[in-house]
Amino acid sequence: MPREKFKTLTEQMFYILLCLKDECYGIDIFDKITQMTDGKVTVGSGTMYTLLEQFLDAEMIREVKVEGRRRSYILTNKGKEMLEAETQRLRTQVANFDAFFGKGDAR
Amino acid sequence: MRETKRRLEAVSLYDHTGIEKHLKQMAEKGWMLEKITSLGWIYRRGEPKYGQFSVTYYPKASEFDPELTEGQQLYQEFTARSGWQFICSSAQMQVFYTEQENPTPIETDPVAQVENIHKAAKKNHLLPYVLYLVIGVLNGVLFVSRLLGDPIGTLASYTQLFTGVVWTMLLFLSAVELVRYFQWYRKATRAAEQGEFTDTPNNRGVQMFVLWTVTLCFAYWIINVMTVGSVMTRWVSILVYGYIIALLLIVNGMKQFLKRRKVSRGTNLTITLIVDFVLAFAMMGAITFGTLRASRNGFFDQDAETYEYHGSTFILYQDQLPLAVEDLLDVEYDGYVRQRRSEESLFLGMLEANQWSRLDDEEGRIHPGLNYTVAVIKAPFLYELCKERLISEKDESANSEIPEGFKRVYLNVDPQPWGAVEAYQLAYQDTGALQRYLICYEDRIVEISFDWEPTAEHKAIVGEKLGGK
Repeated sequence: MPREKFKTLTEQMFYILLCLKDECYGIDIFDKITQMTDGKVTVGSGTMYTLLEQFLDAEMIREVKVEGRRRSYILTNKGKEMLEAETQRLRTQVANFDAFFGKGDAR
Repeated sequence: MRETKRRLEAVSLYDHTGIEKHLKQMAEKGWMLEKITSLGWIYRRGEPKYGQFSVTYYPKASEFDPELTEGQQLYQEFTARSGWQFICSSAQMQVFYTEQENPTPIETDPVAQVENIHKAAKKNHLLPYVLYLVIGVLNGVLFVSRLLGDPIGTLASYTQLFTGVVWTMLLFLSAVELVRYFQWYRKATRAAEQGEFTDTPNNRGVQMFVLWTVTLCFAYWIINVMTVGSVMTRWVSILVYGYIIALLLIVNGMKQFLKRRKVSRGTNLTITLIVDFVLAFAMMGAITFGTLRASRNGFFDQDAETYEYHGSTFILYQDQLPLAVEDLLDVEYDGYVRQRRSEESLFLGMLEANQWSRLDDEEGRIHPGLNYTVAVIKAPFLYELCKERLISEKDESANSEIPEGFKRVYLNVDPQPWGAVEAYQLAYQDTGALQRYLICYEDRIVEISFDWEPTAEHKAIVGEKLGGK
């Protein structure tokens, strides 16, 4: 694998995982992300499918309901840890920025 | 007007950007892709459409799947949700279409996209090129070794030239495809880490060049088979092409039939492979065996008379020879067998003629025989090569295993009586000259052997009949 898998999460991965804090159907994640980010983040349908498969393989999420093609997923503990690690990484970045520029002086 | 159109598309299946562009152009002309089959891409006529196409890959799919896998159906539910209409799929490749103004692309993560393309390419799309490369290299080695062993025979054979060119072309195409694919893969992987997409390479120029060259060579070959090929060559060519087409149709038919019967991917693959393998060997065996049999029974020389000698059947060839014993000597004998074999390509023409008394006429053996070959060199740059080759085939000067004084060598003789540029006579250093000559004319080289010592008059007749003047 060229990208060290899931060591850092892309924006799209981050939001998909975030949506799965509570059980959610795959097809509904699209709307949830749009709502959550005010349409700033969009995930392509193929990419959504591929990432869900990869998260399943990495046991970061698991399937809850399988009703034919309709499937719902939820975050596993492992997925939650990775989401937290990513959030921590982002917090550190923000903290470093603040320490350097001073809080609120960014603009 | 026809409502559908079948096209054999020259595309690299991994080149999704190229395919998307091509499909868009077709749709703008009113031809919408309907499905992709092993026997061409099928388009349906309609109003010109100006939407977007997206070609994506689903690496877990196989062309032996009886229907879309559950995963693919789920994938399509997602794509339909974002406004992309599924058009068709072919093994791992899937084609989608949308008329939305600014559609969200199906692939928004370049890393995942490159991974999917690469998995599908490794599983399927690069395989034919790897296969052509291997067979192409093997054929190349075979062709070069034939060329070194028998340059005149090889270059004079339109069939060998044709297969030589075709395999060189396929080798070239495969090398270009593979090199460009892996260059793209490296570049795209690096760019994807930065969140950027990289267009796949488009090799349409090379593909069209190879396609046209192969088509032209094939036309050249067919024309030759039809005009100068022997009856046997014609039969064998028809059978071999029939064999290839039948094999393709049967194997494809088998695969489709099993798919319709909803047989699982693994079973289908196994059965199709076995059928393919068994048929390929059985049919090739039948052709080889049949040809040998037919040839032995005189099927390819139906008009020819035959005779029996010591339990074997021999054909009493009565071919027209450009130079016969009767042109040189005052002989009257109706028991001669006259055989002529010729081959011709763009570079070289080759004629082999033999005249001898029939084997079953023991008394007839006192009648002198004659045999010669004429190599007509149409491509002047091959002249020296052919001459050196013909000399070294017989001349043992350079052979260190034979002691000096006992070698067979070509001696320079006067070319003038032959009306030639150069002439050589074969001789043993110890026992003296043979009645075998190599005579070089401007554009041809004649190798001739007599059962008697030719006079100046005979030599002049040879020059006149075979010298090409």
